[in-house]
Amino acid sequence: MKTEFMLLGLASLAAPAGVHATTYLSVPQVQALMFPGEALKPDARTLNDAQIAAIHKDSGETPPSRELKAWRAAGGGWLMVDEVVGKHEFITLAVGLDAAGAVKGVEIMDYREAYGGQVRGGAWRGQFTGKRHGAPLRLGRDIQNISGATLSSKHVTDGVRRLLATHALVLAPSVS
Amino acid sequence: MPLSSRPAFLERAQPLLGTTVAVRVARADAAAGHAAIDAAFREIAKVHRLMSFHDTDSDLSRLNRLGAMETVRLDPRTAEVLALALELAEQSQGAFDPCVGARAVADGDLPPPPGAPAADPMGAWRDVHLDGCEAHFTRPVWLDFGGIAKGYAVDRAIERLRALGVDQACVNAGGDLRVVGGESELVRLRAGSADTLPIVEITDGALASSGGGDAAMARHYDGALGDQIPLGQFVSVAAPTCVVADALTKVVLARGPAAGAVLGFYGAKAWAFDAELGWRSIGAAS
Repeated sequence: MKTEFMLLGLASLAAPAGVHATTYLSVPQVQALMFPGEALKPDARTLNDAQIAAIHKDSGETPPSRELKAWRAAGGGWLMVDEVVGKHEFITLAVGLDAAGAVKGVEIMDYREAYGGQVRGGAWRGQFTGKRHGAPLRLGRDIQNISGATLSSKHVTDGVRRLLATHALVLAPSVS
Repeated sequence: MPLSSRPAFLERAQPLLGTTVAVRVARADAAAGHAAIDAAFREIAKVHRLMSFHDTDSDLSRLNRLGAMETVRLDPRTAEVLALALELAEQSQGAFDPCVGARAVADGDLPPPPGAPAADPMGAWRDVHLDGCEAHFTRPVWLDFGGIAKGYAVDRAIERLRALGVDQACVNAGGDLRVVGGESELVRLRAGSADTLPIVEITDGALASSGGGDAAMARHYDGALGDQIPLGQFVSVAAPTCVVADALTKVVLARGPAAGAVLGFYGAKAWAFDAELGWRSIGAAS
């Protein structure tokens, strides 16, 4: 194990480090991962007021958008991709369901976190261009990790529950 | 080292352990890499099921339902965590004590374990006995692995990845992480004043943090004194394994610089922040 502690002044950074953003998977990647070898047909929906009310009644959560991104798998399963908005984080979530409506997988596709009133402008990454002991740091290294004050995954759990309700109330009845 | 010379990575994240867990592996073959990541996530979920305070079927709940002098057989993983928790309790003279469950229930942070006999107010880690995978209590106590199981889950995931031939990997459970294979990670510590950026660069080791939050976050206890650790203190611990780093954050929160000997025993070092003293390194910190 090797460690080094550095305390940098924010003034020495080219950009403030207030946003933490990671992209894990694209839509094609998550499709291939959850439904390997299966053809997926786009089946996006626009939720109407009655459906939104029903989803809220069932799950306690209101969909963030009327537009539901969904794909139907050849074997009868479903893939839904949706946004989850927490207090300080924005997460793109993929939920795969098998033909019986059981969860095949939950993947976080994209994670953006903003905190501490340091958000300035768009979604950039806290690239590490400061100085350490007077010497320039290695270029091109991102601060990918933040330790401390663990964020709860409650919003993700709530989002999965909402998407399960959306499947049961909107997607499943439309093909039976 | 320019970005282009780093190997290509596969990285995925799933909601596990009550947080977001990210697993990154050096990529040789995409299918094998994804299979290894799947196995790592499954292992983390298994550790969570074994050591959940809330799940009545967990090993931990079976332990907490034990009456005095009854014996329960544990999964080897649960036994490993319990053995380490008892060793940490001994090394820290009870500052780390897995028997904080009763106190956490009394404070309303955890629900009472269903079907468990009342915890003995005098009960502590010395009342927990482990022989191989068999455990018994000399007084009924309520164990909580909230201060140690997350780090253990990270270590188990790393072990699964290695068993599947992954040499370079990072497993990050909401900021408690371990990196192996010669890679170094830059980790921002979420503490300190607004105009500074505290960063730890860690190579082949683990880093975990505790404290620093508001009252909505999990509370920590000094096991020996039975006191809640005051809010506002923040500690990060670097250690060879994540389970040790995770557990030692609580010891440093409770004991401050006096935790130096325990840190030394485990080959660990710590950085602590509080508003009055600023940043301090504890143990053999660089």
